[in-house]
Amino acid sequence: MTDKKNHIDILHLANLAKVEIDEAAELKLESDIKSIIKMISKMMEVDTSDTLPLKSPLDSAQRLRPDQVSEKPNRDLLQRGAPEIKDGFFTVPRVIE
Amino acid sequence: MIGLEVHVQLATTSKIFSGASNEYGSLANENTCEIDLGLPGSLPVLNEKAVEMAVKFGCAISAEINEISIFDRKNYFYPDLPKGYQISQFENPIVGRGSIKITDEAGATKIIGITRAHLEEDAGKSIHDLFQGRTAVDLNRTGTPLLEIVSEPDIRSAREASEYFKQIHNLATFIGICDGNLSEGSMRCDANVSVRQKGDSLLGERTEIKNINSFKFVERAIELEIERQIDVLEDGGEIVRETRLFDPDKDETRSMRSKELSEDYRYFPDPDLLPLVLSREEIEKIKSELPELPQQREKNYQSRFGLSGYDSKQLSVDRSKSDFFEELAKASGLPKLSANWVNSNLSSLLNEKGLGFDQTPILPSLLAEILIRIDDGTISSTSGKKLFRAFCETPPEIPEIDDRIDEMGLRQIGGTDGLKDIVLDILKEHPTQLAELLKGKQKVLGFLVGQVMKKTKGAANPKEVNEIIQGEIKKG
Repeated sequence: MTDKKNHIDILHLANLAKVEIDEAAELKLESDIKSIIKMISKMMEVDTSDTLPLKSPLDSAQRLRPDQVSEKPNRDLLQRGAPEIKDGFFTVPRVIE
Repeated sequence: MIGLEVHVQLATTSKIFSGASNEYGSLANENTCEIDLGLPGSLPVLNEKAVEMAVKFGCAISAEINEISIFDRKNYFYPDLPKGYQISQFENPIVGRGSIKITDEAGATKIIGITRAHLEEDAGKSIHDLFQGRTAVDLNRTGTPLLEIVSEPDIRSAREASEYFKQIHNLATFIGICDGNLSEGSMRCDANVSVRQKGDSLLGERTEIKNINSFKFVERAIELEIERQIDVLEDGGEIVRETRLFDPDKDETRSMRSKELSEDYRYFPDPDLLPLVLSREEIEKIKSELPELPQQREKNYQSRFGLSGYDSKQLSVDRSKSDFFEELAKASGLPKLSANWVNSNLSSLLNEKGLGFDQTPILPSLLAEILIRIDDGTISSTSGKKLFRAFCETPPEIPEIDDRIDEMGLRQIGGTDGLKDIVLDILKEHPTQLAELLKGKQKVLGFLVGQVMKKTKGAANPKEVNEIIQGEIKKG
């Protein structure tokens, strides 16, 4: 159907992102992403051999924090939004196979 | 061919990106805050101590420290990673190329290249056997600062791998960036293993064994994996690139299927964190604060003090032990005696009491006074041990030492007149034994020396007593 070179494995990406998509969405996403890639390919045509890579768009550096404990234990409040807790643990459906 | 990735938990007080406590062993989820839980609206702020520790390690392995480094997001889903990504460093790590020396199987020094070391946050812990049918998640470990140290594939055997892991452990604890507690997971490693025919230049496909937390296990896991790969190839099979798990109970490595699809981490720069910029001056300052390193100390002890290779190594692995020895040697001026005492008497006392060298019950300056008195013959080496034990319980002031020696009756009776008189008395008191000795019966010599020791309550030097008796016999 599609040629291998231009094929984008949407289902693999969906699996990595843990989203479920149907076939219609798959086709739409593939064509959307292809057009984005086309745009990026166009940008790649610009000659950047004399340009240093931009490490961050902001002209500023990381601010550092002193190594001090500033947070008090506040477990009950922090766990209030969790779907299920037990004995102080968050619990989730068993993930080991 | 083996490459190791060692994860070192940095011994900071707080987390790498939040002000929550970094203490081990608290109640489940007690040491967490909004940032660790990845709640919306929370923003990470980098801990300066974690940066300093990473630079320290980089300087200790003579690595290039990058003045600009970048934090990236490594994306994957797992319940113990609430944000859905781990903040790590990918293309621009803080520490670049360096190297570390190990001793190979033939006893020669071998250099193992280190590709890079980068800062990242640890994930939480999933516990699968606590609740029926559910996985319990404890996020206390989330956000613990980690330094991941990646080696070149320079390691050639399981034993070399374990040696390399040990060296990293020694170095990291020595410079004080990690508590080194393997059973608490303070240091863990992943091993990349591949095999090839002798003479082949091409690398075979590799597998990765995850999360090994002991020197013994790393050696065994790699041995097993090498055997397994050779068996597969010899049976005409192919090695599949995969992540494997070492099971020490079953003594095998086995495939961890769940990770196969997650290879694609989709790294990208974390927009929440600006580039980390360090100045040359800051780097130089941290470098200048590094202590003299174990391998250098080991060399110095041999060249400066004439200690054996074994003793030097024993003394230089642990920072506090090494510092104690150096102070003791300096204060006493007796490096060899100091080395013996630190490696034997002091080590066994600390062992008995379950203490570390940073908790010695005696100061090096006081122990030095004991060693000086052993060396000049004031006390015997046996009395020295008694004095040492006593001083560990109730340490005296330095000027009181000699009084204490007298109170305990430990002063050695000198080889001159005092001791000679006692020996002569003993010989007179035991004419039968003396007669036997004169006939050449050497067995009674021990008995007579024993009698002198008894009379002097152990304060005489047995060697000297021996010599005096021998001298008397010669005289007839």
